[in-house]
Amino acid sequence: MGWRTVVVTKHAKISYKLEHVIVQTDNDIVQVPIADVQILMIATTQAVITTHLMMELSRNDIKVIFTDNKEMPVGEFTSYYSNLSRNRNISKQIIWDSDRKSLLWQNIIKMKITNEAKMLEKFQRTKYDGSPGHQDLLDLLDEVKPGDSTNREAVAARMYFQRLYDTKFNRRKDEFVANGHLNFGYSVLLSLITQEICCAGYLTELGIHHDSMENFYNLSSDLIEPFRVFVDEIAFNKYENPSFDLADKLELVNLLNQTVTTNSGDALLSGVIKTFVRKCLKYLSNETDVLPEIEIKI
Amino acid sequence: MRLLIFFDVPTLTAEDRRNYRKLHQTLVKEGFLMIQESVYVRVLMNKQSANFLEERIQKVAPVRGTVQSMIVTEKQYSEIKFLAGKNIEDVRNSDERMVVI
Repeated sequence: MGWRTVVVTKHAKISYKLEHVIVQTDNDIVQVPIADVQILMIATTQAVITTHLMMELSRNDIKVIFTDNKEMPVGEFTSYYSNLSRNRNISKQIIWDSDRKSLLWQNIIKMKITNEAKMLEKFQRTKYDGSPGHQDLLDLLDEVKPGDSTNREAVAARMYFQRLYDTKFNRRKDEFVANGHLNFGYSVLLSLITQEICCAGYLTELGIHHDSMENFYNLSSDLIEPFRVFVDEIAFNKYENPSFDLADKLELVNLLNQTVTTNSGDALLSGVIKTFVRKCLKYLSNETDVLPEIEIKI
Repeated sequence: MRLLIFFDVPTLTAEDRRNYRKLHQTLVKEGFLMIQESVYVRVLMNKQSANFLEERIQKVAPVRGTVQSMIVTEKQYSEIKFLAGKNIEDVRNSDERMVVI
């Protein structure tokens, strides 16, 4: 399993030779052993990539992310290879027990709200009347029902974004530069989760809560929820001086290599996310009765 | 973690040269970087993968000749002093998790 994130940002030819990814730029050749690569992000429209390399990347379960001319991720490459129990897993996934799905979703939303509250507490964000902002979110925790039938997620999200950034902040408006950071960062997280789901031999289309007909990544969109706060943190740190250039994007990509403290010790964020995804899939497929729960220090 | 391979193998007969080529090609395919002639190095994430890789190189080590291996931590490796010459700038010679090209 790879551990390097390779980001190509300039005019280059990307090819394969003797188990290596070869990136040939105008004045340099970089060779990276394919076994080391976890994610290949092509953050330019000025690169060419060979089909032989694409084949080897898919054989090695390496995530490839493509970006548009504004360097925003537009899509990714998901392989057929990966896992020999894929067919068996997919038949299980289609009939995942609805109670398990509801309980897991409840748990995920609780983790998400807890992390959002921790973020507000860390940055000492307050309500409009000046009182600490995180307590209201913590109060919502007990009201989260199986399947989040009362939709506390949306209530928490509204409170959270307005308190973290500003009351004027709107997730849907492009004029807030932070939205660029958030969209970019979430895409990177989503790719890692999608990669792990594919590696484990499951479909990303069939989610436990998200069920949009237009979304290929319903399951990834479910499992990303507790981890969004790490992107929010980076966006928040730049909120005062908005910029969104290549350095900002690279910082968001490098987020996966950040060390975080969990209840089972220190680990890289990418590792924590992968463990979480595996645990969720095991729970949904009846391989364990333990609900996956990760406490993260923020 | 670093796995270092040092070797000195004969190239007298055609068979010797075939064995040498096999060793060299395996080292290249496994992602080793030549830091000096007959000295190769590979960055690895943990001791376990270093041990596995060492076993794979064992399989292609020629019977005649000497091939030595050494596993050291990143910290120990970084304490190499250059009495002459300098470090090779190559992705394969760093343990950076993010490579920006």
